[in-house]
Amino acid sequence: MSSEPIDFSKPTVWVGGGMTSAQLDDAIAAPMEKFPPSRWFIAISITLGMLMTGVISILITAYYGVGMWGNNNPVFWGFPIINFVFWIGIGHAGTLISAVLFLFRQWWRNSIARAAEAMTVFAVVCAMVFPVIHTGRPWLAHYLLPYPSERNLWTNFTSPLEWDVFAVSTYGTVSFVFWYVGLIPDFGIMRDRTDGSTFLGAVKKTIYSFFSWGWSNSNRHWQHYERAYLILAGFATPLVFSVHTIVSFDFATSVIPGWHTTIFPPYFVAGAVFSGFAMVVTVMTIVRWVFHLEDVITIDTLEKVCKVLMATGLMVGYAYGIEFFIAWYGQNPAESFVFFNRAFGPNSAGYWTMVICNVISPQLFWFKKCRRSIAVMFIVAIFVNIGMWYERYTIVVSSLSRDYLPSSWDAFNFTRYDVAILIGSFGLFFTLVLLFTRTLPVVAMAEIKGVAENNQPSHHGDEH
Amino acid sequence: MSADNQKIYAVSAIFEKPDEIMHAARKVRDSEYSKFDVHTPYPVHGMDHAMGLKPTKVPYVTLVFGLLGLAAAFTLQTGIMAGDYKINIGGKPFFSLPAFMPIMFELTVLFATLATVFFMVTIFCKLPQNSLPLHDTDYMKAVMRDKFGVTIEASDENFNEEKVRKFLEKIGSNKVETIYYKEVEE
Repeated sequence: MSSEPIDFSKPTVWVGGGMTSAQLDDAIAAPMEKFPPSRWFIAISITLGMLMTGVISILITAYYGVGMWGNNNPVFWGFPIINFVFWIGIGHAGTLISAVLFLFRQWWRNSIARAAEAMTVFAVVCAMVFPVIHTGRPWLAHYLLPYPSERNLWTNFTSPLEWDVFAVSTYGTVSFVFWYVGLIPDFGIMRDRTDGSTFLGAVKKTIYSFFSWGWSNSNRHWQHYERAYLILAGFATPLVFSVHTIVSFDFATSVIPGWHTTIFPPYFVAGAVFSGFAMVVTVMTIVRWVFHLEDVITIDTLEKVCKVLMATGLMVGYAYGIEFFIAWYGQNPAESFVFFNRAFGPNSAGYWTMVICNVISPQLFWFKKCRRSIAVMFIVAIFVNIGMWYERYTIVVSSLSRDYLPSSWDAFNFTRYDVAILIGSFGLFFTLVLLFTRTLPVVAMAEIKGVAENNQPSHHGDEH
Repeated sequence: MSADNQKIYAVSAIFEKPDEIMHAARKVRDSEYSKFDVHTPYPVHGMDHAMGLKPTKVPYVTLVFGLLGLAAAFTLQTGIMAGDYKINIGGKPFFSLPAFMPIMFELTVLFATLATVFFMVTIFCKLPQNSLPLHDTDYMKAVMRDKFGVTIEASDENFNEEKVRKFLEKIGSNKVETIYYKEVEE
């Protein structure tokens, strides 16, 4: 990294308690080396139960058809698209933390970047479930891809739904690669920590050796590695903005009132980052508590996350406001009606839940005490998760159920299968998170050592 | 440790502090030895310069493959939408560049990042390198954890075990070891 001027002369310490490199290794590797606590088994049995609920509901849907869901005419897009947009949004915080904050040299990111990246990968997996199942015929999902076939059919590249296929699969792939590149040195660390004399140890050591590619911490490697990481961060940054922009195009390029607006791309991106950061807080506070990583994921770091949460919450609140303003200012009767209907129509409960959770609750973070209280930030994060789900619900359902022609209006009622699949997606997400915390370092070991106290040369500047 | 069929791979030296390794790296760079390496538990700022490394060429790979991805997406979409499979959608043009932009961007990113990582790992870092004689030594375990190390390889033309050991002790290491490897008989 010699070419980038980084000021290490004023070291900001994001690793509490002045931990040394060796202590950091021990603290981070501990969850992987100990037998999991009973709390972990209880948690994973709950999440696996949730996952099974979803899997069974998906099988029932595949057998009987999408009539099992609440989707109707005119609300053809029910829970699947709501859940898809919700999960894609959750993923965005991970990329933002790992890539955007890396480019901006916000080193407080290092302690949460790994877990946030993992969340991105898992959230994309959850999101991808919905496009695959939404037709009720998951075995035909490959029709989404352009490939030369005996049917002589191609996909329509002018459709935002096809852009989604490319955006989401690229996003998933790049996020996974970015995550894995960060893991290579850590697999090396784990390989050399693991005692290969027992059978189990030998198995673990072989796995770590395989995935570390024989990484040796050579500076001749670090040089290329760091540049490649920087390039990945540079690409992931516009990528993350493009993904939710393209997701918003699914709505914005249609002519449905309430969707056909130019504010959608930035509004969706801000909302995605907002919801993702809320999920980061939810997961990190739990991980920190369960695995005693208080000195690694410091309260200072979480305070920063809360500030981001509040800032993006304000952006989302601004978008809600400006939507209403434009609906009035534009004087388009259909547009005005949709927004009136959102706030005071049959789905108004969802709308006000969204406003209270997303706009009102993060205002607590104006107070330093709230930003530094684990309990407060956890509760607010849960509120935001709920609120952001309701935001997508409001956008999809209120616009579709009552568009231009009153004779085609119909109410939307979800079924137990809709709810079960949503629960199943949470089960999938948290099962993957729980497995991740047991099998991979939840904090990037090599990265966090680089920002720990006194770990960079003090005489920066000589010979430069 | 030196058995009959073992050959010297390198002489290693451990340093405790980042400042010491920076100093050592400069000394080794300015010495008569050119086949050396520095091992640090995390990237140490300024080390590339201290070791006298040339700038990495990774970005060229990114550029080439990024452009390749861009071209691939353009060709794919134009060939299908305006050539092989024309669909009339509301009388809009078959070739409509703005609608092709999102996928052109996505494939640029996809090709560029995958190629960057692949080339970085296999070509630039020459991984996998599980057979490196340094693996499973105390030296490697130390530099993976919290120590900093320098190795001077035996394949260097000026290599002389005694001289190298003295040199590494002189530049401040308190733990100098010779690392051997077993030659595989063909």
